[in-house]
Amino acid sequence: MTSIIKTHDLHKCYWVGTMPHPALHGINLDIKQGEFAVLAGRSGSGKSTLLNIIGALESADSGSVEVFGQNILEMTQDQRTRFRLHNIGFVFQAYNLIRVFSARENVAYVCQLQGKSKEESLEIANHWLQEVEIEHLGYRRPDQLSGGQQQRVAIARALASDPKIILADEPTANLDTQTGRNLIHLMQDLNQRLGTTFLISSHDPDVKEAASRLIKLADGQIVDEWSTIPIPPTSIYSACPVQNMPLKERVQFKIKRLIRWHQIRKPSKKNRRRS
Amino acid sequence: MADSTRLGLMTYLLLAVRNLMRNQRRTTITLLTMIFGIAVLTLLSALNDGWLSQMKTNFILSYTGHAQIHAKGFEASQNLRDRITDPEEVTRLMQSYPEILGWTQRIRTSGLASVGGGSAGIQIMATDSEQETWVTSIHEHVTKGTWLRPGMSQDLLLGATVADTIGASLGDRVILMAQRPAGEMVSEVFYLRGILETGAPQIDRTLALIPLNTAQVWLKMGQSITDIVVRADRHENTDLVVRLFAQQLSDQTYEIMPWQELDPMVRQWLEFSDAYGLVIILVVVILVLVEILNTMLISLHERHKELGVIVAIGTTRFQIFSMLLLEAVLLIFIGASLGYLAGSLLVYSLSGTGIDLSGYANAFQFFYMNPVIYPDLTTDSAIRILGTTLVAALLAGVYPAWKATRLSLSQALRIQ
Repeated sequence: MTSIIKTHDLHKCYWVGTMPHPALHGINLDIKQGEFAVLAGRSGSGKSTLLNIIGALESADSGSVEVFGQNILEMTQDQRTRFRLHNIGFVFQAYNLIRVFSARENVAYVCQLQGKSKEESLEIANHWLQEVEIEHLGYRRPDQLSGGQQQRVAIARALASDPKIILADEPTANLDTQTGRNLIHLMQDLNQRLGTTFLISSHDPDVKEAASRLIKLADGQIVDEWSTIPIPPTSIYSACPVQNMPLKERVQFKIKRLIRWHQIRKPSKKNRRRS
Repeated sequence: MADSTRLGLMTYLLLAVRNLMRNQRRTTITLLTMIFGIAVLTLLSALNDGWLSQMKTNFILSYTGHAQIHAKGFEASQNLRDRITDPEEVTRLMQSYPEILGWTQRIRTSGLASVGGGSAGIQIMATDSEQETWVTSIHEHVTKGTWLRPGMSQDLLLGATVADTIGASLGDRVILMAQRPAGEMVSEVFYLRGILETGAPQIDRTLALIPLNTAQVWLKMGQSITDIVVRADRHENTDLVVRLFAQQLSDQTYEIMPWQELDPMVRQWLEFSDAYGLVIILVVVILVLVEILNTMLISLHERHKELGVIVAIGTTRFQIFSMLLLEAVLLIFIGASLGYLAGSLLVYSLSGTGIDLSGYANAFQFFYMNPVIYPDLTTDSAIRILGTTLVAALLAGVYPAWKATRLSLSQALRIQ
């Protein structure tokens, strides 16, 4: 599979007055196309910072970040903005929808930014709202939607620009367990049906379970990593492909995957209604 | 990969309108402040313009006309040797200019008036009684007695103050003394037929009005005169009239002066009033600007995170700048339009009756002012008010818009 995100020796340090607070310390990462990768770790481990740097929202102090072969750290602000618009979709913890727009207008907005006409943008918005199963709520403003519904709009907005990768920062943190699970299933479904790569930062166990690849961060470093697909030998950190897992864990993992697959293919009416 | 980011004007407008509606109470208060400020500004500006226009009209019509033509050097020397010997050469031209409403010929010289034991220095003005009424309204200021009567060669009108000073009453025999062009002093007897009260102290204090024909004989001037006073159809055509004469008449023989040059003090007073009007505009506009700036900055603070998200999903900083600038301009446009409309209605309601300040009549007895001020909303003042407000809108919008483009994405997105 093709690498779409590559970071090399990435460092980032925040300063509070004269006190340094290292956030990332020599991160090397290689994300392949179509992965459903999860960055896990405790608060302050560097997940969001890494996601922001990969998403061209923030700069690193040193190292390189290549997304689709382009070193985003060398881009100007406006180049980064255009790059984000055409390549990356974002899903935030607090949904972050534009309050003065309806759900449909929120989704259509990115299409309009891409230069599409209003009519075409609204058509695309309708399509993606249908994909996330809330087309009937398209006319509502964000404050008239539940948390789960807002996050679905956010996912539809992220997908509307036809990005190759979606970066989601704690997408289930503000949702109740069941709504969170439904959202994870939705993202997994989109990942598998459309081949869109997902890179999610989360400490939600359900998200971690859903991952095709789990990258654990602690104190700004990758401390553990496993994947259902082979990790390239270039990774300098420990790799635990599923075939290298202990037998008991490997069986558990495969059973869970099978159950989730079944749920995604045939979501229950109850779940649909809840979402 | 396409690399453009575009947003239609309608999307900008939609965002601006909805963002203004987001906090309706704040927007309403800001708009009301602006409407009040601009309405008051419009009224004050109209009062100032109305008052200036009255003053200008009074000044022009009571004595000077829109322009005067003299023999070269007369205005400085005030000597009868510097006279127009062939007034026909000039008056022939008058017929061909439709911008000229009328003209009159005068002899102007200084002299002395005495009656009984009293005497005073005067400014003798000899004029044609009928032609003068086409050009100025001085005949309307006769408060006692009559205007110069045709054929009555010894009629005399005096300014109210000068008549008081020398103790002259209607019908009195008044002796005027003046110097002929050749230099000899001569005197003549006139009969006081009228008292003039123009409201302008320098006129009421010195003016002695006699028939032109009498003065030409008395001062041995033949057909010569000192002034040709011209009235234009509109104040605004003064410069045009001056230009037309300047093209036709030799500047070696004549001097052509617009009313502003004939009394520098009036000109300075008008300039001062213009400056005063401008100060009022600036004060109100600064207040409006501060109000808008405050509203925009609070709004920016509240939307810090949302702006971060908008940038994160692909809006360029220029687009953010345009969005916020449009919001400020839209707010000011609505406020200024409604304010100007309210001010215009106020001016319209007062234009018939004016504002009567006759209770302060003493304060108005100088400088050609009327005690009733009629507000006058001119195109110039509309452009001044709305233009200055637009500039203020841009200034008030630019700073928050620029500030928005400087926001740190990572910090904005971390706001809870």
